[in-house]
Amino acid sequence: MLRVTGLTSQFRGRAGVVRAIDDVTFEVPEGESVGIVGETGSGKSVTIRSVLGLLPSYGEVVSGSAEFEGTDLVRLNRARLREIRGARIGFVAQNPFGSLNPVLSIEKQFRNVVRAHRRISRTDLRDLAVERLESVQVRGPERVLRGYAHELSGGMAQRVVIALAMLHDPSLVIADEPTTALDVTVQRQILDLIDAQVKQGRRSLLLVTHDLGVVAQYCHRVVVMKSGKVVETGLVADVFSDPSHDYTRQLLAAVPPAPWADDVPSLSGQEVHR
Amino acid sequence: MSIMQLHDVHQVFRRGGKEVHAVNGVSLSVGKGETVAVIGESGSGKSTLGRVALGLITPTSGDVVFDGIRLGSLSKKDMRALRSRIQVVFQEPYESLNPRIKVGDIVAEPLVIHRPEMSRAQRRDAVVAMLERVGLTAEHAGRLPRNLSGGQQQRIGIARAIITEPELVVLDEPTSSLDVSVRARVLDLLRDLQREREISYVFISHDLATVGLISDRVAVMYLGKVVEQGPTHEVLTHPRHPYTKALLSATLSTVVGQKRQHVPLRGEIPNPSKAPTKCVLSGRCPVEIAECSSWPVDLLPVAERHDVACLLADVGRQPVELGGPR
Repeated sequence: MLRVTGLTSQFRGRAGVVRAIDDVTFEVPEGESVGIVGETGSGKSVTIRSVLGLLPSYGEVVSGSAEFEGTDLVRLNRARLREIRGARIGFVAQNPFGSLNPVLSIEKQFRNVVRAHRRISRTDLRDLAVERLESVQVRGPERVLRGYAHELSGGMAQRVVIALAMLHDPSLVIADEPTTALDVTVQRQILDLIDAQVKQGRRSLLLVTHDLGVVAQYCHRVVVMKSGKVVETGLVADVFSDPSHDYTRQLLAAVPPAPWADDVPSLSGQEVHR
Repeated sequence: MSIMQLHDVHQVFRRGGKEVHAVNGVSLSVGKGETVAVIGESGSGKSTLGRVALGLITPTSGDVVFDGIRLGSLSKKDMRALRSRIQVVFQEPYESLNPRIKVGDIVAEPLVIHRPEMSRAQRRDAVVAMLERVGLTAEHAGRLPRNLSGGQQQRIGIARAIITEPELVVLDEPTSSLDVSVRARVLDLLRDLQREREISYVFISHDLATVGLISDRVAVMYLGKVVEQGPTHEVLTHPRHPYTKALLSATLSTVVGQKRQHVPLRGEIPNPSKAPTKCVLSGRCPVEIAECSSWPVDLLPVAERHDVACLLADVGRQPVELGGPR
């Protein structure tokens, strides 16, 4: 489905050129969920932004490829990439209020997303938007469509973003820390929702997270990143029960045990110094 | 013996004719050398409660008593003197450090204010000793905060808080913005410091796993009220309130296949705009009965030092049982 090979990206800054990710290679097989996990600065977000052509202006992909449905995304021009991004790949970012346009009504945003790819009448659009909002359990979809992003809670806004991302029935969903900005009790709701949307549509999922628990419960495969490099990949069941890399072991050991577990083992882990 | 007691604290903010009941009748006591965790989501009132305990805001009603002294009764001068005994560590280490001041001066500042009798040389020695105590070196004193990692910045925040040898430190999400591996080491440091100096902590957090590691007792807040409180181990292993259960079920295990039953709450936390006339969880609760929306529900003991504000708490762990695959 998605095959990333030798992907290397760099940033230009006052201090010169910094390599943000180096020789990143992994695969998202069809119908599977893959989690990219790592700490701050590991390059997990840069990886998906490189794949999606969403690097900031001072960043660039230097080498490598990201093959999706037979096309190398890295070599596409902006217009073609945008087309694929909206239609074949759905993207859910960390902050829903950054994804939604604050000055357009939610309905207008549905219209813009649909019309970027096909013509649709006003009434058909309304019906489609209502149906899609219902499918992500937004209560009172008509009222939400008339309103604006700031009137929504964080969880509701993220549901709207997910509905927009699924609008063109993408075969791949890429989510970048989709619940980090949300409250704890809402996080599970949103993860379950993404999970259900992916499974129902037989889509593949690439999920970036710092939460190893999320990977353990929602992903088939895991890509562990550190300092811009992939240190370990494999099936979650294998990697988490028997990590082959020291860093993976440290990450797992640093997660506090579930609080309802009776024995609390001592902590360990290496602090990353800049 | 308790070092701090909060008695029926209410905090109402008024903004543009609207009232927000951020804290709604909370009583809490913190023992000497004890860590009491206050957990809740954003909007639960936990940070406001922390500011009340720090004496940064005077509550609308209720008493805050520190070491037998009522905070509201103090003159400005006495209050300032008391501040060296109650300190704070904030969530965002970088945001809470002045970016233009060198680390050594940041850590020295509380001494300049609270220990004016110290000489420059004494102060320098105290700062170096403190930096070394929190796992840094004298060399770090000359650096600016931005030249330190997140974990090191938080160590500076901790050094600044404890250099005046406070008896109580309010920790407001001190590890939430840190990566997991760094978080573990900062928690270790906090525990060691507590053991050495018998400091009491009020540990404000939304992360149950962290709370499970560091606290002796826990108070779960929702919409300005404590809905459950008790010994940490007891509350986390035998939660009685549906909200506590929902919070616990939201923490995902890293053991593959050990997905816990999800206790779903409907919708999201509402605005605490008016004083509750019913159970605070009414409308979101998965096990609600008619009586829940009839009157406010108060904390009642269900076991030794374990209080729960739920009409169904006496039914035991029946209504929403955790555990087992879904």
